[in-house]
Amino acid sequence: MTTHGLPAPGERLPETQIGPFDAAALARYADVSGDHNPLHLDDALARSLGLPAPPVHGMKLLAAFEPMLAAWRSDLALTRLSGKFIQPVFCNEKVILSGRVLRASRAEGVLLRLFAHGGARVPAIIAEASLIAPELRDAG
Amino acid sequence: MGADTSSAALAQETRLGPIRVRVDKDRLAAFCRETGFKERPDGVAPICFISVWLSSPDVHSAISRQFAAENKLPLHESQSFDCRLPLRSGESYDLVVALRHEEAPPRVVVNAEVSTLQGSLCLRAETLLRIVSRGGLGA
Repeated sequence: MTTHGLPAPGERLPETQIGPFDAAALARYADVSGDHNPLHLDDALARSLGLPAPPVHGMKLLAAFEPMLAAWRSDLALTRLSGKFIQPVFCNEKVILSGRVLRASRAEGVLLRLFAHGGARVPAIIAEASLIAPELRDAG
Repeated sequence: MGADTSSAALAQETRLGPIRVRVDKDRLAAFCRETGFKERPDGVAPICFISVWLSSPDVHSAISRQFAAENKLPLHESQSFDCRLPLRSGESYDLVVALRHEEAPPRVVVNAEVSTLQGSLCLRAETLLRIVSRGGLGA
């Protein structure tokens, strides 16, 4: 149910699964992004720090919200995305992305709360996103 | 470009740029592939694409100087992107980065702005990196 083409507060986005990401996927992301932090790539280092495996790059996970949002509402443009990395997602864990609408208005756009869950009960990422009609963004 | 990395500046803020950057078509395609973003026919890049510039050698080495000597590792604590104008494939932009070291808790704050070559602001990003000992997370 939408009002003036906008989603209603409380509307939930379809859950999206990404991953699991293996060591090769983390290496590819490191090459593409330039983020070669050894914590993500060196299994021995991760274990020496008390982790069960290298954690997936937080940025790789946060970036995955954008295609989820585009699949949900391709008519709206993403203008803001922010996230706190609460809990690591480890190599070879699947990740569930979810979200719901907090506010929606023609003037201010759509504000969403987003979550990424890995194997832990606690969210890996708690994020917020703002979407707006592209013509409003371009009007500045 | 030039980095003001004197010891006095490091204690306060290190500024880099403007650094000329470009949304390289091949790198954009690879970034999209690795993050699940479906490439758009209008060439608009994902909002997170700026992160590849923040990992460039100039910026990365300035960030690393904030903690590498102490045998520490950065942990990504939070990240935000605020987009005014979309970045587009093949276009060039100016990137300005400001780094600030905080003591309690120990972390590096990275603020970045991307503007068109005519000076219009496109995107702001803020990265918080928690600095931890290699001897144990949170130590």
